[in-house]
Amino acid sequence: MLVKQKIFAVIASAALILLIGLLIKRRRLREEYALLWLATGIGILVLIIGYPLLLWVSRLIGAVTPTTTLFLFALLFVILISISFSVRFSKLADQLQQLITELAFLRKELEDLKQAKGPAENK
Amino acid sequence: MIEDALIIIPAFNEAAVIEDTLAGVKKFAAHALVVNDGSGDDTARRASRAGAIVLSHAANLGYGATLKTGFTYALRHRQEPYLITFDADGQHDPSFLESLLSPLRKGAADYVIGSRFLAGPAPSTPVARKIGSRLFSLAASAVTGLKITDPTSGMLALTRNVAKVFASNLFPLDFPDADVLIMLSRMGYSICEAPVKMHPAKRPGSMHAGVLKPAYYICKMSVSMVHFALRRDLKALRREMENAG
Repeated sequence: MLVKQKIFAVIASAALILLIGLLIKRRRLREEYALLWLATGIGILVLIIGYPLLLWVSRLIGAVTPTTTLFLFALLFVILISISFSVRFSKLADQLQQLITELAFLRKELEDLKQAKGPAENK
Repeated sequence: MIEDALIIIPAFNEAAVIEDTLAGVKKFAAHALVVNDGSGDDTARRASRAGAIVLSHAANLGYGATLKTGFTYALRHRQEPYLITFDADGQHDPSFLESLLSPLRKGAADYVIGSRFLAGPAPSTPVARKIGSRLFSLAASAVTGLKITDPTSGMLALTRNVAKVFASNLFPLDFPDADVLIMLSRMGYSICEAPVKMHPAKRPGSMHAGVLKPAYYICKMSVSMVHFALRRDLKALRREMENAG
């Protein structure tokens, strides 16, 4: 791996970790959503700093160059993050459906109460 | 006059036809519930004027979610032992409501599908829908061991126990189809079909129009069918839901 590639990868992963930290601090990103992003940044950083580890992982998975290993892991993390979002969206869709259903029931109860109250007030 | 069933009518922007549909239903059934799925028109007010109980979603959720609201309401606030789903767009013929209920009253089935193919020539449907419907019929028939001719029918009659399943998160929020049949069959509920007449929709437009939507639908339905065909806990879930009261 070229020194230039190493420097670029370290800067990119450090920037990612900083950005996630900043977003959490400003409460624009909840901790539970940030975990996989942080893991991505830290994972890449560890692989670059611990270069023998990167070489070992590359041999283990049969990658031709260490750069390929880095890209492969980055891609795997992005896929994991997408799946995690899909799971959360599914849960949100269920919760939204429940909320709208309950709101429909409350509206109906309110209308019934108004109707029942209307004639009583006129008496 | 049907007193022992609540007719659940999901409606989305059906102001032009909802009063006619309800007038037809009211000739045969005493209780009708319209679930207005976030319509931008006058559907809710017209349905209420026509004598239906009306529930309104604050936003458009889709056909399955609208039915789910209807089933949940029926289980919480109504006592009718049977529920019937009926389309708002005037496609379904209310004179068949009695024959749809008959197998439930006799205890011969828990879930009755109104099949347009058992009552003479059915109105023409788009080719994509025809192919999809045929494929799902074959798949549902193969898994359930029953001859299912119309798995996409929206005219259905069911018991309160089946409604409990439909009010749970097992029920699809978009379109219940052959996947639901597979699920019910594997839960041990008895399913049958009854002949019903269907008219061409009074309003043009279908969710099965175009190329991408039917393709997505076929893929989604296939995943859902495989999911229910492979699940091993459906009978236990049925017992749990029925015991929950």
